[in-house]
Amino acid sequence: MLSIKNLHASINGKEILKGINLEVKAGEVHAIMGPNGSGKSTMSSVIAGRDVYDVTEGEIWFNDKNIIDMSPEDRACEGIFLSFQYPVEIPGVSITNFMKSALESKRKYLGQEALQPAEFLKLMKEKRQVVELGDSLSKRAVNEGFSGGEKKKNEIFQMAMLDPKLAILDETDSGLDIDALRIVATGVNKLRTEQNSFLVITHYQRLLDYIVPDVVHILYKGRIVKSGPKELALELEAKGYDWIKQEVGE
Amino acid sequence: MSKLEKNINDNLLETLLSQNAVVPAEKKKYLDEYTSLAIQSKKDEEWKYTDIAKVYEKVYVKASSFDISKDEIDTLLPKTNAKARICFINGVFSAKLSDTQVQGLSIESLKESCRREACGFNATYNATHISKRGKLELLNTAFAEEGVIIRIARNVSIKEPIELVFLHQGKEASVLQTRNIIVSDSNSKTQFLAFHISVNESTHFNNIATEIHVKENAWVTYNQTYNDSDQNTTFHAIEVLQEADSTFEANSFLINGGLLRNNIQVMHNGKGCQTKLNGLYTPTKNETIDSFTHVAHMYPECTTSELYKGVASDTSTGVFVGKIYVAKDAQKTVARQSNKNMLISADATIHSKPQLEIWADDVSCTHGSSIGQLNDDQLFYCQSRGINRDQAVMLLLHAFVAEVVENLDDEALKEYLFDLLKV
Repeated sequence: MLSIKNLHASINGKEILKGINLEVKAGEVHAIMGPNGSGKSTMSSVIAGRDVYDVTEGEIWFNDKNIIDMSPEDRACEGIFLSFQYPVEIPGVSITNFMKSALESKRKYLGQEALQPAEFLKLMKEKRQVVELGDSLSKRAVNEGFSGGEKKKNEIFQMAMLDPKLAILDETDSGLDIDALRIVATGVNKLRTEQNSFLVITHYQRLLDYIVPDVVHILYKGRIVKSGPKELALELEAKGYDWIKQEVGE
Repeated sequence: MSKLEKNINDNLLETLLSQNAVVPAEKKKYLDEYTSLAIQSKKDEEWKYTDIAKVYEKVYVKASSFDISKDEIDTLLPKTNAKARICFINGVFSAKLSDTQVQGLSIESLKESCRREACGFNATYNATHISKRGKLELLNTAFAEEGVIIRIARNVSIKEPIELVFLHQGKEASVLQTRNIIVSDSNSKTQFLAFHISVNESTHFNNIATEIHVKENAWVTYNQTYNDSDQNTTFHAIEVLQEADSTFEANSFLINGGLLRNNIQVMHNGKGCQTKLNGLYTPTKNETIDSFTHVAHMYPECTTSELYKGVASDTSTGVFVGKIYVAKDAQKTVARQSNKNMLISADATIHSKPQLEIWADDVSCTHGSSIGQLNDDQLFYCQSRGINRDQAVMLLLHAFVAEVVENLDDEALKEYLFDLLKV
């Protein structure tokens, strides 16, 4: 599904990612953990195609296509979804119109007919329930005036609508209280299948109680320094990141 | 006098003098005043960003009419629920193409009015003192023979809007002067939809003056849209006089026009007036679109709210100058003014000048101005959902202009505007 090879990326001449290697297979959930500033969010942005980062070396393969020169919209249409750590407010654009544009674009890219209005509304209703998102919210402008929890629910709702092959959840748990976290995590679990994969980026182990990963990776100073089973997350929670620093020789 | 001003030959005046053999005695003083004023230049505070001097230099031919049918006009306009239409062909009122049978509404051409009373110089004409505003307003007052006087009777509320349709075309430039006067008697309520349209190529200079007298507790909404060719020049001065407890609302869509300057100047002549001015200016190519507003709060307890937005692309220039003046006695004034702009090309220019001049001490006034570009975070967010960049730009621009367009309640008009705006 996703294969990252020796990925180097920098912003304004400063190298953030210093040779990432990662393999994610269909149906797998991988967690990326790491201290602040280790490059977690950069990695998610680079996979999604944000052009403020310069990829200086390496390759990103997604379903046997090298996507390194692909636009963000084409990557999205190929099936990559990024749930933003800080979802952007778009005043004046209703969630309904926004999703309509997004879904039409994706279906057009895949050579599918646009949904009929009734089908679209039915889909909206169905997917809203995944994250218990109210009807009134979908009439409002994208993320405008939303609480932290509402913004994250809206991200998962959009994910449900777009049905991606690979979803990157960038610190989806940050700023959520335990109830919102449960709703969001339950929503994600409903969307898990044998065919799709998740890259769960998080600072805390808490989220991984709900979304149980197959593999945990520790990102430190732009490199994956350790990978292991889900227990690695518990170990990190108990011991903090210092032992990792010692292990890599600092 | 600068070198530039000296060199300008006032062909505009020569043209009008040659076309109007006799300037009536009543109008002579306006002509004298006009002559005594210098041609506007960048040194004039009110004309700092727009060079209007070229309208004086141009050589003009006598205005002529052109043929157009009612059906053809219908295709140029949105299908609103308007019941009345007042139509002007190259500046000249056309009774044939107009439809004015509405209860409580009376429409008289300026020419008829002149036949009845000396040049229409009754209590109505120039009641707003528009001639005091500047050189082009004086020119209109001295020479304009075309236009209508619209009266809305006391206590009459006309639900359906009244269309004012200004159509022009012509490859050879003419000066088109129209003078309209709207008198909304006490407790009346009306809405106007004005459309300024270049039917084909138009190279004219439209010097339009509109006087609007909103009497006690009356309500006038004046919505105006400009869709003119890039060779067309328009100066439209709208002068509003509001009596106590009246409301004046204008929604201005200055969308296309080579050089387009729109003035709205409002004077409060009593307590409790409300003024709402919203506008959008969207110059493209090499156009200059300049929106100038001035509201004078002379009495207590009046409010003004103003939102103007600009989007400038290519090598165009957009201007917002808005002043709210609060006189010493205008206590409890509430005034809100906001101007937001978006530059979507590196070569476009926006000038924004919001101004408050406050002499009273118990008021609540705010103003703000911003000039920005499309937000990269928003664009990337759209792209990450599969929406391509061009479409994302459209989506964001649509949202930007919608804040002004959505003030309107007519769906057909809104759709017409979004079409013109291409978003």
